[in-house]
Formats: sequence, structure tokens, C-alpha cells
Amino acid sequence: MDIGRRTFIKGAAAAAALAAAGLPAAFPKAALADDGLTWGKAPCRFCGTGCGVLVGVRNGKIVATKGDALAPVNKGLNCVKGYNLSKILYGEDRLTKPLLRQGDKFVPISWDKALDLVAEKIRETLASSGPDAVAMFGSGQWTVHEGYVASKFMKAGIGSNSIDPNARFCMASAVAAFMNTFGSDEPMGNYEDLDLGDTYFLWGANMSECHPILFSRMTANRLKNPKVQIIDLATRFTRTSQEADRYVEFQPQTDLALANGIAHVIVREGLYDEAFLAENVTLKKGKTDIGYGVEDKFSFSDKGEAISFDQYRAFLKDYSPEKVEAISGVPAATVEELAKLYADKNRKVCSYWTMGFNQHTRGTWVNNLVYNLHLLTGKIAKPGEGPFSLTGQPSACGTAREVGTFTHRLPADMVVTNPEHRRKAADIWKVPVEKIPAKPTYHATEMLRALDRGDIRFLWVQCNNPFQAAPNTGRFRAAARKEGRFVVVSDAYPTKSTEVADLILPSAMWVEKEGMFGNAERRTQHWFKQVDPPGEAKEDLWQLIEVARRLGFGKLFEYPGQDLHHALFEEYRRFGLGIGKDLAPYEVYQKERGVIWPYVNGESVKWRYNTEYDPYAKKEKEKGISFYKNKKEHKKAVLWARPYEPAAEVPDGDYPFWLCTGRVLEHWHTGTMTRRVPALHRAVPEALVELHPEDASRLGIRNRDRVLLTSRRGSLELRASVGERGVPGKGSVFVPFFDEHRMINDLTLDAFCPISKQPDYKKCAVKVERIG
Amino acid sequence: MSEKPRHSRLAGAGVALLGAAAAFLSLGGRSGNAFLLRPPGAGEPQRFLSRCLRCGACAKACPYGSIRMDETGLAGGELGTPVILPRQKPCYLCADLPCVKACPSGALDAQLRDAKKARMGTAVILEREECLSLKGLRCEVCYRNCPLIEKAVTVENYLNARTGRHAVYEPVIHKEHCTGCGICEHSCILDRPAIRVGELQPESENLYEG
Amino acid sequence: MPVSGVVVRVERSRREQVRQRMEEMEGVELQPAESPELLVATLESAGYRQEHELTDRIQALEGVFGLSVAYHNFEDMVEA
Repeated sequence: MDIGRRTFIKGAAAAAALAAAGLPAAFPKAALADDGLTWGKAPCRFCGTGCGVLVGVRNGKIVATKGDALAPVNKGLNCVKGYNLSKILYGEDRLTKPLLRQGDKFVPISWDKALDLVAEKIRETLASSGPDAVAMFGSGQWTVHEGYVASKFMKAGIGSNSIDPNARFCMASAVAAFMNTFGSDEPMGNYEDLDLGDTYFLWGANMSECHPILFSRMTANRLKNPKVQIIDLATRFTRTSQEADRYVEFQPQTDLALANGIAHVIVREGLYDEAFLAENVTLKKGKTDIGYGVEDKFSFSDKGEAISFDQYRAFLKDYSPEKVEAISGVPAATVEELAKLYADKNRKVCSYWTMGFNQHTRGTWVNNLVYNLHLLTGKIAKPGEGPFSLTGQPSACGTAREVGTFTHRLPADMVVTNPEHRRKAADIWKVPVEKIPAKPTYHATEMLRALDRGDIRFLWVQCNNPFQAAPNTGRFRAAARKEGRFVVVSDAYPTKSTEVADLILPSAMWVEKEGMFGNAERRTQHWFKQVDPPGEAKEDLWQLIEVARRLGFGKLFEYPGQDLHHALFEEYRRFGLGIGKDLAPYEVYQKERGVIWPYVNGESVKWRYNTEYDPYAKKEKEKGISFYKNKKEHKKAVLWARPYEPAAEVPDGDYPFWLCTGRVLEHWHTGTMTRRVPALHRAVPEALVELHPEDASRLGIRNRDRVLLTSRRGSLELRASVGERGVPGKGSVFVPFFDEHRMINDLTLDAFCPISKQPDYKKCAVKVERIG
Repeated sequence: MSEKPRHSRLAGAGVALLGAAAAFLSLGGRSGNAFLLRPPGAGEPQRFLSRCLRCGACAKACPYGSIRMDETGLAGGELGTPVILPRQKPCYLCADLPCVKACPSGALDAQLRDAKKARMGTAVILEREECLSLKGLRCEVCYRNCPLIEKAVTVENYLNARTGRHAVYEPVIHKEHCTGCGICEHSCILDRPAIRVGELQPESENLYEG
Repeated sequence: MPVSGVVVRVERSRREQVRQRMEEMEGVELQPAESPELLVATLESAGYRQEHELTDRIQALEGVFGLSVAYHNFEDMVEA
């Protein structure tokens, strides 16, 4: 680095430190208006992969981003969403002032007035309806700091459990299954498994488009090692299927049968690892015929009952390859082959999945079933071997799950229903233990229903867009506009959610605030604030703390003499230390390209539960695997016997097609960021409905013809896509949800997994008609 | 965007570039002697130009407004003939070929019945150094948007030598299937597309194995 | 050579002492800061290990309550 550049950098460092200290700069800002760029690291704003980028700032504006070559996840590469990160902050219609609804219009008001109003509405609601009626709809795209403040605000400040994130729509089934199988959330492996395994099963995941850089890594492994096989198990032929060595199509919902069928063959042939099972696994069954959650106030809790291996074997009799073929359409011979691959002693097997498994009315069950395959074969928690739940959002792990921004949760896997856990939280948060409510109230779908019913009167949405992203959105958009509801939406851009708000608060985005995200492989990554937010936009964390002050519990967020972000994190960190959820000291994250937790004695645990890599496991036994987090199951993992049960709404004479929804590579979620990038909008300007060519031909629908899609809840006009990037199975259609002009969630059904409460976005019934 | 050089035929005419004409020229980004994309069924340029009545029926029939009449001749072709500027609006290969049906003179050959059999040109990655996919990023938007995906374009993987643990997804055009519709050029993420539709390439006569 | 901007919280009565000790450390450049309980400095080190050692030494000084990093630049540690 030349001397001039070095001087410039030091100037920037000094200015940043003085600003952080709240002191005036000793030299005028003009001196820093060098022509040079400063670069800072950050994880990408988009998916759960967590690629590292470098953000280039000049004169207070992001002018460039590039892949971070030192980031182990992506080594300098990105997908085209990541490539365009420099543009997402600069859409023309960035929100810059608080806006208050007056009739059909919004008028700008001051922050003071806005925050006073929020506090007043909360006070009103508390007085008239109690703390449960004050609700917060949070996000897996919140930073760790934001989620922590929100959780503490609600559970220690207001005294309400009515906080739930959009991660409920994304990963809840995965979480429920991690908890009921292993006693602890999140995968045991890491991304190196993509480099080290040789047999990859993808279950209902379009990994090539939705985790592009990870799929690139899997493909690279195959290029280096001819033994590598990628098997795509899905209901729709995608670019992932094209790349796979094998594509196996099953009927929607029948992944349950297929997974059990594979287990059936493994057990029948004696291909299971008896020693591993004896040492590490206990078997159970749960309730069956558990419903679909379509009714308001639906309630369910599972009950596990121990079973013997013989009982499990008997249970599997219903899943012979022939029976599975009849249910799923997968040929019996294929079921046999897949089982042999799973069990092959010379193969290192990994399973990957995302929304096909999680957004499922039996999502928890099907997650359990894939764990069964790895428990039966002992292929788990080892380099290149194991089940890996891919995360959708950038910080569903780091924020929503680890901080616990759910109605029933506290940080570090703890739950509000456990008095010990509440005591620990009360201790760290320095509040009386009675403050933290013991009963969960509303999960995300029920929260929106409660808003409709009037059980919730105040709702604060931050950093996500539920009025486009929730299932059955028609009902919920109407709910938000009912009398006696006050809806606050904090966001960076106008969205379908700001459209129904009473008060809109302009938020800082991404590197306009200091933050951290935690990705799918348990890697938490930090970034410094690098530019100022525009106009009067403020970070969500500040908004929450300002309201907290007005409500009289501002001291929960006061750390005199300490840097706020630093202090928040170090307090949060206390929850996980010593219990296998250890996070590193803050300075480590500031310096490194993220570190994986548990972080113990200066080292990351790359494979949890494995005595070779995990000091917690090593405390339990000398060699092998220990599921030490599952104390109530005597430190064993649970193999759950879960049956096939049909979907909530099955195609019939009136609505003969399955509707499945999802994403495309070019757009993120509801498109509020990516559609404002001209290049990405131009690449994929509108949502299309994909049809199988035979169905299209039968209905006289050609590529780009206009089609009317109707479900029992709504109707939508879309152009058809026939024989292009995605081909659904016969009798199914597929529509992505990024397009706010084509609200596909007006058609979807708010049925959910009774255990996880995660809605099924992949299955409801529609009819398809050509209109021109 | 910079203006392209004027077509030579206007050099002596002293004609000022009016706003619309300049826009037409600069947005199209094609210089005087460059390839012009014609509507489906145009076939050989000589044949087409000798039959085209410059009536504008094809442009009227096109539901997307992809076909534009080159009123100014500044796109470099014959004055008043129909052209497609893919970066503005590509051809979407309408199944019932309304442009061909509308053409009164057969300049757009009515024997073309299947839009996917149109041969308007051939796509080619001209900017290999700019193409994001070739740099190892996950782009391939041109591939994913191609209406003849897996026929006119496929991706070929090879190891990213720099990172050692990712794959490069290179889009490869197969000219025997490429219609020249220009959807790829339109979709390219870059400010100046790395992939463009150019002159129709004849079938390979190269006898060597690939 | 990573460069960082740091804020050091000090005991008021020992501020001058700490400031002098920091002035003596190689790679530390103190910035003018009007505050009785804070010191602001830029740090330059040969590499990450040396940087950690330097911040550890500062934090170990008597009278120092804590050190926060406000800015960290490592662009010349980045591969092309």
C-alpha cells in the first residue's frame, strides 16, 4: 500500500473511531474526500449461503462491491444478486421520512411524533387488551443486534410473547426437527461437506437457483472426483435437475413415503449400523392424524412414545418399494437403488433440503425422516457425511433461531415455558423473572389471523413483507385495514406491507448500520457501518430503543461508557457460553471472515457431536459421536417413526392442479430489493406460471399465452412458461412469489405443519384456464 | 450512451440528428454496416429486401412492440424496413407467428409455421472477458431465459482454477438450434451485454470430434 | 498491514498515563480527542497476529477499561 493511500486509510480509521466515540472530527471532512475507495467486508444481504463481499465506498456512497476472495464460503465469487449489491440501497423511492396514514394518503411527520405515536398506541393497547395484543412481526433478515433488541423489548420490556419472525415461514420445520431429534438447533456439519462427500441427495430443493454458490461447490467436487453423484429428488424439473446425475420425480407430499421407503429397504436388507444405533439412537413414535391448522386458534402438541426396533420394522411394512411406488410414482426399483446408495459403506452421503421439506404440512415429520436415514446408516456428523438443512434467509440462523425471536423462544435454544430458562434470561436481562411471560401466544400465521380477529391490536413489522409473503394474503391485507388495528411497518422501500400500514418508518439497510448475520453453516459474520442511511432513515434497533425509552424501559438498552453494538452482542453471548452454543468475542467477528460456532478455546467446532472436532462431545466419550445436547433422551438422537399423510388441499374435479410456489435465482423473496435493480428486473421482469408441456397442450396453452389461475381463495392472471427453465410434474403448476403485481399468495392456503406451524407454500389446489 | 457513427449514405445530406433518430441509433447500438435482426421468416437479406413492402403490418401485428420500422434508415438498413433491437425488446417467438401471418408479400415466409424453427441470427458471447459466468460467478441468465433452453444453449462446467472449489458454468450456444430471438442479449445482466445476436451462422462443416 | 481505528475507555485519573504509554507503542497513533474518559487512536500492524497482540497490550494497561474497534481496513491483505 503506498504512503498516500495509507494516510488516507488512517484518516478514515480515525474519523470512524471519533464518530464512534461521539467526538467531533479533528479535521474537516473535506480532507477525507480523497478520490480513493475504502473497502469493508460484509456478508451478502441475500440468501442463507452467506457469501462474503467487499463493499467499496467513496464520498459516503457505495460505488462498488466485489466478491471477497478471502471469504471461505465463496472465495470471491457471487451470484448475480450478490453482484448487484452496490445498487440495492439506491432505488429511487427509498423511504426517507416517517409517514403517517391520513385516509388514503401518507404524510411525512417527524421522528419524535412518530415514536411518540408508537409508544402511545402500545400503551393504549396494553391498557385495553393486555400485552398479548401488542405484537411484533420480525425477520430472518434482521441483524443479530436487531433481533436481540426486539426480543428483549418484547419479552423483558413489554412482557409479551407476541413476537414471531418470517423465519416461521422459512425454517420452522427444520428447527422443530432439530430440536426433537437432537435437542439442539442447527446442522452438525459445515460447507466443507460439499467438498468432501461423494453422494449428494437433494430433497425438494432447487439448489442451483436458490443456493447458487453452494451448488457451484458441489458441482466442482464432482468435476474433481468422478465418483461423486448428485441425485435430485423433486416434484419439479429445474436447472438443478438438469445438472444432477439423476432426477427422481415424486408426487407432491409423497416425500414422506419415499423417505420411509428408503428406510424400509435399509432395514429389510440389514444395511443399518447396529452398533451406532445401539450407542446413539433411541426410537419413538408420535401422534398421527394431526390436522392442518387451517382453523383459527388451531392447537396441537405432539407426544412421543418410545418404540422398539421391531416395532419400527413393523411400522415400515407399509412402505415397501411397491407400496411407495403406488403412493409416490417413484418406481420400486428406484427406491431400492436409492436405499443402496444411502447405505453403501463406500459412499459418503449428504442430504440437502430447504423449502420443499420445510414449507410442508408434515414438514417436521419429513425432516425427521431424512435424519432417520443418516441415523440408520451412521452417516452423520462426519466430514463429508451428514444431513444438512440449507437455510433460506441470511440470518434465520444467526438472528431468528439463535437469538430466539419466536413466540416460544429465548436465546440459545431456550424456551419461555421452562422456568429455568426464564430465570437465566431474567438474570442476564436484569429484570424480575415474572416479567418474562411463560406462555407462547401467536406464531406468524396465527398472528396475522389474530390481527384479523382483533385479538391483536398493535402490530410492528420490521425488515420483511408479510402482506406479500404470507400464505392466503387476501385475508391478511384486509385485516390490517380494519378499525382498531394499528400497524407500523419499518422498511427501506414501499412494499405491499407499507401499503396497508398506519405508520411507515424509514429504515437503514445492510451496511448503513453495523450488524451481523449468521448463515446456514453456523458462521456468524460481522460488518461495520460503511455509509449513512439516506434522509432520516434509521436502523431498526434505534427505532426500538427510542420507543423503549418512551415506554419507560430504556435502561434495558443502556450500556454506559460502552459501544452499543458491542455491548449488546457481549450480553447476548452470555446465553450460549458453556452450553455448546458458544459464540466468539466480538473482536473476533470484527476481524475474521466470520467464525463458526461453537467457538471454544479460540477454535470453531466444524463438526458438532463428533469427538474428534467437538470438545463438548469429547467430554462425554473418548471416540465416536455424542448427541450431548439431547439430555432428556440420555444424549441420544431420536429416530421418529412418522407416516405418510396426505396434503391439506388435494386437487379435485373443480381445482385439478397442484400449485407450488418458490423462487428464481435473479430475485430475492418479494423482490423489494432486486426488482429495483434495473439489470435484475430486466432479466426476469414478471412472474410466469410454469406448466408441463402435456398439460399445456391439452389446455391449448402455448408459451407466453395468458392464463387465469384460480384457487378457493383468489384468482390471478399470469403468462405461461412452457418448456423453459422449470418444468413442474404433470398436474402441477409453479409460480414464483417475487412479483408484487402478481400476488400468488392470494391463492395459497394457510395450512401448516401442526408441530412447527410452518405453512405449506408448495401444495394447494388450483384450476388453470387459457384466456388468450 | 455514445452515438454511433452515421451511416455513410447520410454523410453528405447535412441532416441533423433529431432526438428520436439519435435515440433509435444509440439505443440500438449498431453501426452502419452491422448485422440487423429481422423478424422471423425473413430469411436471406437479399430475398427479404426484394419482397419487403415497408408496409409496417408486421410491426403492427407484433404484440410486444419488438418489431420497429426503421423510418430513418439510421439503423443502417434500407429505409423503412422492419428491424428488431433485442436489447430494447427481443422477439418472444409467438407460437402463432402473427408477424408472418400479417405480411402481405411473403417477405416473411409463410412456410415458417413453428416459431422455434425461425433462424433470424445466431447468438454469440462476444465479450468473453466481461461475461460474469466465465468469471466464475453464478449468472447464466441468458441460459435460464432461453426459450430453447438445453437445445440452443447449454451450460458446461469446469473447475474454477482460482478458487479450486467452485465450478464455472459456461453458457455454450448451439447454433443449429438458436433462433436468434435475442432474449439472451436482452437479459444479460451487464450494462453492455456480453452476449449478442449476430449474423446467422451456417451449420458446422468441421469434421473433427468435439 | 491491517489498519484500525479504536476507542479506548480509560479511568479519568489515569488518562494521561495511558496516553503516554500508548504513545510509546509502535504502530499506535493517537488522535486529538476532547474527552476525559476516552482515547482515540489508529493502529497499524504487520499482520493480524501482531494486531491482536497490540490490542491485548493496550487493554492490559492499568487504567484501561476496554477497547472497541470502530474501523478495520485490511485491503492490502486481500488477494487480487
